[in-house]
Amino acid sequence: MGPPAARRAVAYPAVALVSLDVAAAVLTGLVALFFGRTWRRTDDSLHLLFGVGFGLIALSFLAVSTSQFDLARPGEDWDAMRIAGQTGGALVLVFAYLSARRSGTARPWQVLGWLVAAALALFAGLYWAAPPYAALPTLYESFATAHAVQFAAYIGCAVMAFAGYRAAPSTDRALVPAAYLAWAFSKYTWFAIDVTGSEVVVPLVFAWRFAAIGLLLLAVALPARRSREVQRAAT
Amino acid sequence: MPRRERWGIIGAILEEVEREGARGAQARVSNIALRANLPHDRLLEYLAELGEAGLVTGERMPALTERGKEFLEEYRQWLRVLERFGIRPGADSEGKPQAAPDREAER
Repeated sequence: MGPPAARRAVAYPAVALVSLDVAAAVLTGLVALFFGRTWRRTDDSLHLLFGVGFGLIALSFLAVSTSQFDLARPGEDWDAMRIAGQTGGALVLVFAYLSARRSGTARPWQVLGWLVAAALALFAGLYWAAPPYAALPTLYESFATAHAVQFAAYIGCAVMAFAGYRAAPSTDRALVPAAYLAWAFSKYTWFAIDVTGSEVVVPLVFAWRFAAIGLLLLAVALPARRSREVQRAAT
Repeated sequence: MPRRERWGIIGAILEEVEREGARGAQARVSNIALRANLPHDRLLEYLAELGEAGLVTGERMPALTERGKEFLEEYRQWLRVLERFGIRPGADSEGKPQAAPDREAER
């Protein structure tokens, strides 16, 4: 395995990478915000779990950007937080979906989701609390494994989100499964970069990522249609 | 009987009140109970609560207020988005499908 992918990516213009990561963080944060608002209205912990999952992913995009600056802390620390946040966020989403299935038991999956979120908060807290000169694990050796886990997690999310489309096929219900698939492809591309050491395809990672975020935002923003029965009665 | 999420129940009640109202007649509690899959006494409790919140008027022959209509539109938007994410209300806290309403208990 070649040098760490995150460090290699710096070969691209840093300003462009930082701008893309900040944009990805803000846009993913909007999806997290939607679930946060929904949770405030419904008081359903499942919606909060989804919000936390998307929130972790959004924050970890910011960690990548932060690694481009000298903040009295080695960039490797931010990379470790990035990979942990991305993996944790993907796992939280999978556990949230597993707990939302129509069959099986919900509670253990929700508990697992919260445990992952808590473990991540602890991990990030330790990295923040440690003095800058502390020799913390860089996790570079785990990048390929982490990206493989994220790939599998997003494929799982796509399959479970597809249940909504299967129940009542329509174009708008295909948006979210397609978004998770695009996110899975971006993780697979990172995995390929980790394994091959080739950085030529880094732009592809961003293309898949923004395709995924765009589809998710479309799913959140598209207005709902009224049921045919109500429409008929209203006219 | 497995528990349905509260927000899903409230949405189902408001949808049924609107549907009944759209037929040109005032909504009948028994019809709403049947279609919202709720025992009669629990429906009355919910309707009283919704009345206090200013979303419906009249407990025996309920109708949506303007505020209720706005709330229902907002609820539909959430529901549609959650369905796009493959998440549906009505799954109980244990993730099991909803049981049929206990009609014997209603009599």
